[in-house]
Amino acid sequence: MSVIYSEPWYEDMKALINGSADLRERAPADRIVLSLEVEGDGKSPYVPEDGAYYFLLEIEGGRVEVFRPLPERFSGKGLSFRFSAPASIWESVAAGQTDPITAGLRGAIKVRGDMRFLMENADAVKLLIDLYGSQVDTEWPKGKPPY
Amino acid sequence: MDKSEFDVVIIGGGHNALTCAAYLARANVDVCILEGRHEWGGALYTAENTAPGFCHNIHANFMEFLHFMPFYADFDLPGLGARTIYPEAQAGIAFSDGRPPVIIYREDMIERTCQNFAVYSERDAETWRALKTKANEFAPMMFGNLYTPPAKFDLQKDGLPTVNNAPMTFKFFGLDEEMAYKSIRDCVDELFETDEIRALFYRVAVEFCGPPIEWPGTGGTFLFACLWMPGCWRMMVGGTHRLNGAMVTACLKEGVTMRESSRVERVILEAGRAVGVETVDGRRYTARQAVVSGIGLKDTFQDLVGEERLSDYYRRRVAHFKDGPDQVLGSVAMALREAPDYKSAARDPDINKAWYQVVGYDSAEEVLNYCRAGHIDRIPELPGAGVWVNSIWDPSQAPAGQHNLTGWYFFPRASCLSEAEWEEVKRSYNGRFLALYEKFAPNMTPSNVIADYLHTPLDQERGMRMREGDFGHGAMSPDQTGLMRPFAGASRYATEIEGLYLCGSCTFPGGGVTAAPGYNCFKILCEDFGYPEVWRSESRSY
Amino acid sequence: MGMFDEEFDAIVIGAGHNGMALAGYLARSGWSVAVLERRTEEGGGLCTEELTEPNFLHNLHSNYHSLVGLSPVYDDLELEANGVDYAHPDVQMGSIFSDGTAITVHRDMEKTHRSFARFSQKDADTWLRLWEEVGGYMDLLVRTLMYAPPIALNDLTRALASWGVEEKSEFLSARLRSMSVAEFLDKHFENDRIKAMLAFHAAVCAYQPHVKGLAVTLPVLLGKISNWQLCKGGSHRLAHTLMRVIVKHGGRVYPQVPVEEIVVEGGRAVGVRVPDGFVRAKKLVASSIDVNQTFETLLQPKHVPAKTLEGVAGVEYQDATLFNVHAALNGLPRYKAAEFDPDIDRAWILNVGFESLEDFRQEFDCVRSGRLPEVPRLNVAVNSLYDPTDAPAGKATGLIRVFAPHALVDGGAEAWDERGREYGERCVERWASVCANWDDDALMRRFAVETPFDISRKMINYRFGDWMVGRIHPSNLLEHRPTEELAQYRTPVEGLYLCGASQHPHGYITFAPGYNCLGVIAEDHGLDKWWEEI
Repeated sequence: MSVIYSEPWYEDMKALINGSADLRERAPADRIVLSLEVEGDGKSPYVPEDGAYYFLLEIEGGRVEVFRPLPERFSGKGLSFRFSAPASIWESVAAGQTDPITAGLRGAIKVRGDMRFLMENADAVKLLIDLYGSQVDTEWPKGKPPY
Repeated sequence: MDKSEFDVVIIGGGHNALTCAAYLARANVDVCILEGRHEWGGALYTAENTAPGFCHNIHANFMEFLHFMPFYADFDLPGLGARTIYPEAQAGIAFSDGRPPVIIYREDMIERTCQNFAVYSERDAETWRALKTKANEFAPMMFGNLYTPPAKFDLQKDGLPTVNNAPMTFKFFGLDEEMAYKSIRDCVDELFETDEIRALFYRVAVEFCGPPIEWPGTGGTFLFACLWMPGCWRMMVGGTHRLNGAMVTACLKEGVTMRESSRVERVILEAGRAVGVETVDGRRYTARQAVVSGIGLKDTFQDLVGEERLSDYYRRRVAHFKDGPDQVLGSVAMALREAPDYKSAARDPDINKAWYQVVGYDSAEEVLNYCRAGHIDRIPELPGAGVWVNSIWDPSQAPAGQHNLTGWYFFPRASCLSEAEWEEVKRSYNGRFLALYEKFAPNMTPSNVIADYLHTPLDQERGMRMREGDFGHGAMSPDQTGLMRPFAGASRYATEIEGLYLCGSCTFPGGGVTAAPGYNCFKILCEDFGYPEVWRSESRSY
Repeated sequence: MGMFDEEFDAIVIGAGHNGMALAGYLARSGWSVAVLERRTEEGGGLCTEELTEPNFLHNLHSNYHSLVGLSPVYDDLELEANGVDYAHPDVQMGSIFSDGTAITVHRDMEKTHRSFARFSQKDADTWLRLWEEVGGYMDLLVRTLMYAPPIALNDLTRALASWGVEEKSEFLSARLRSMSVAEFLDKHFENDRIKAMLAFHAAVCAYQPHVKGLAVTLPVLLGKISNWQLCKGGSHRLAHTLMRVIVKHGGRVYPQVPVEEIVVEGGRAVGVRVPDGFVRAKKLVASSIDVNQTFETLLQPKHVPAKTLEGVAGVEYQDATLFNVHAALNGLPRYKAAEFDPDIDRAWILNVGFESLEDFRQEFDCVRSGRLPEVPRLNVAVNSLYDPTDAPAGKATGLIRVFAPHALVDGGAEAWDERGREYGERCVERWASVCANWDDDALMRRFAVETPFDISRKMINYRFGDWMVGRIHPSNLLEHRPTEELAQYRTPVEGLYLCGASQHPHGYITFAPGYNCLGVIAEDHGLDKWWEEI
């Protein structure tokens, strides 16, 4: 059990992804750089209301090479995708309460980047999402959503 | 949000306004230019208004000043897309009985013209040779004059200036100075004996310069319109509007802020000073230094400033400024299957390739009567015209193998007829013209015309805001030209309202695609605001 | 000739909005760019002319701009700061029915809901759910289906299935790809008139309601139903604005310079031949005109692979084009149906005549057979409602459009020259019949007709009058547009790109073909994508 947004939590997440043979099989060989943006929304007790957490993920051949927090919003070049959503949405996904696809369809999670790539690799995307959404054993010291 | 504060705000996007704007921007002045219409260039206007693919220059068509125009050279307008064609046979008149045509060729082809005149009269040929040679020598002096603001004079001290410096010019041509006090018609008649040649000159004079050809005291205009101008007409490749395209590009390159569909509704005055303008969509544009108006005189002072803000003198002078009746235009446009083939071409095929073709008159008297009609507020009975078939030289102006004819009628002022009467003219006059045309060129039958269009003086007034349909934005009569344009005391582009300047065709030297009012206004702005004099060039005196 | 002494990094053929947008981005990237245009004005379909009388501004082609704020080009090229100005009508469109009733579609969907509810509460509720659902994924869809090179339809449907979208969305389904717009509407709605209103909206966008497979794009279409905007001062103002952007960044637009040949050396496009001579393109030539002209007219056959030519020869164009009546009016029309719904008087775009999906079937069957319907069914737009400056004070400019065949069954396209005026009169009569003040206010001053034959002569890349420059049909969309080989903006001629409406997604003021071509050029030439922020 690791606390949400804590370092061990990232490590768990990373290990989980890297442990998925299924994902490695389906994932494209390219190196993909993702930025995840967790925006404080006043509902989540884990992110200050007007603050935000930023994470960088680099995946190559279905393996997470880098998963680290960023001090500020990624603004340079070389990003493949950017996923941003209010913290309560991310957390409710992590808690397995919200389906991230549905959240994407409702516009709650915003996706920037080449959608063609996501669609061409739909299965890998689905696996990754499932891992994030339901597999990590997360500890919620300030309460689990809906808090 | 769109920027709204500039050093200079220019009203109107005609070619003079564009000229002034481009030079101002080059002088590092922050300038914004506002055009009321959806399209730039004012009378540099080309439209496909007969049938698809047929381009018609409904207003300006011939270009006679380009090679002296500072704007053209200083901003490399040819490099920005303004390319020209210089037809050899410049102007001609054909006759219904197949008599030999009279044709004037380019200024560098004097002998060709003489050969043509000699068919009728050796003496007229000789006269042309002598006078045209002088005219070519005279041209540079004339341009120095055009592209320089009129000299200062003090109405109180000097009294009204002398209008006419033409006698000296006649002397230069080796002619009697007294001719300056005669009419254009008298000059033509005294110098040329052939009726056919006189007919062409009459029409050319009324088309290209201004005062009624029977007005005494306008002899100087004869030198300009009959001797100098025929022979230097150039055509814009692709249509007149291409010159506008190049001018707009020049402005944008220099950093002018340009806004079309932005009709100015009023000039904002603060403590008697012009400080900005307001457009119909309610936007305000602030002018830190000057508001420059490139539109008509009455439009500026009566509509945008308001008569109540004017001195008695300005109020009266503006009100009395004449639009028409001399150059009130109806434009005919026809999409043709074949170019006109004149009976007179049997005697000299060049008439079919004359750029400007005078059609419908068999004698000088018929031209004269035609010109008189407009002055007595009537539509000419005899529907003659001067026409251009540009596609003969520039096939891009019409679909392959077909032709675009555009021509000018001279009509009474827009206000002389009711809207319904103009509608009737619109419906019927082209048909009358065509019936007459067929007598001169038998292939000009209704079946040769794919579609036609008539732009009436009322249309010119409404569309181009040329009051009364006067294509020079104000009559070019002696009391409204030179130092007297638009009126005595207002000829140096500045006005009695501090910060308000004029740069349109209502100022010296008047209408036509000279770009001189815009250029001269810029010179005055340099004087008044200390802008760098970027107009100066080592290659010219002006 | 001075103009062509210089060479350019890139030459764009055709100054339509796509070509000009591409040129604007490239110029801002520091390239020297020239846009060469055959016509007398830049803008292509962004064409505004005083066709009837001075000061009456008629948009000959492009009239509705529904991607303002959605297309990245508006922001990237700072179009607003360069002078374009839009009006966003609060009553977007409406339908007038023969029994005097009317539907209105508003920017405010609550009002639309109320209008629909007068015909069917159930449909009104369905509409609101559909609208809200689409609102969630609109941005995603627009960027996926428009502002990216075409995705294979198979990938799209496989992804929708893999992600279980069908269970998560009421209206998105993998089966959309086999459905027509009419079938989609039949499946979800019950009221004929509401269906007709929504089908009208699709048809005006060139999505014929009975073509199988077009339902797949319906969500994007419907998601923009409240975003139809009017370019103030005429659509041509957008062209002026694009030109300003290009020149500001050092590029050039040269109208009336027709390209006669794309010059190929060693298999590579190196420039173009124009009447003045040769203009060299150091990096590339991008053609924004139709592929038939590009490959069959401008390239010598020896430079084009046979299979490319074969593909191009097979490109299909729309079987229904438009017949336009441009009207100068003495005032704003008012409608008899205003007694039922007063907002109809302020509806920018009006459906007069389509009352059921069956009407669309009949109409397009009739058009496809080269015939004109007895009673024309109209699409009317009165721009002066929202931009009074497009007509003299107190007057108004009107536009009637009807679907029409390019070639008439008796006499072909040429027959339009004889019959256009009379058909125009019938269209005007139809319009007059639903107006309340037609005779009282002597509304009609003058009208001009623009037939399908006129359109194809004036805008020669609108082949057969097809303003979408290629049929809107699953066989000619996405990765099939215009052919599989040419669908990714590159061509078999090295250095020659395609950036016009022949390409995915299609014609219309999306700027997407130009934008997507830009992306491909950026990859090929290692351009720094300053415009793309992920």
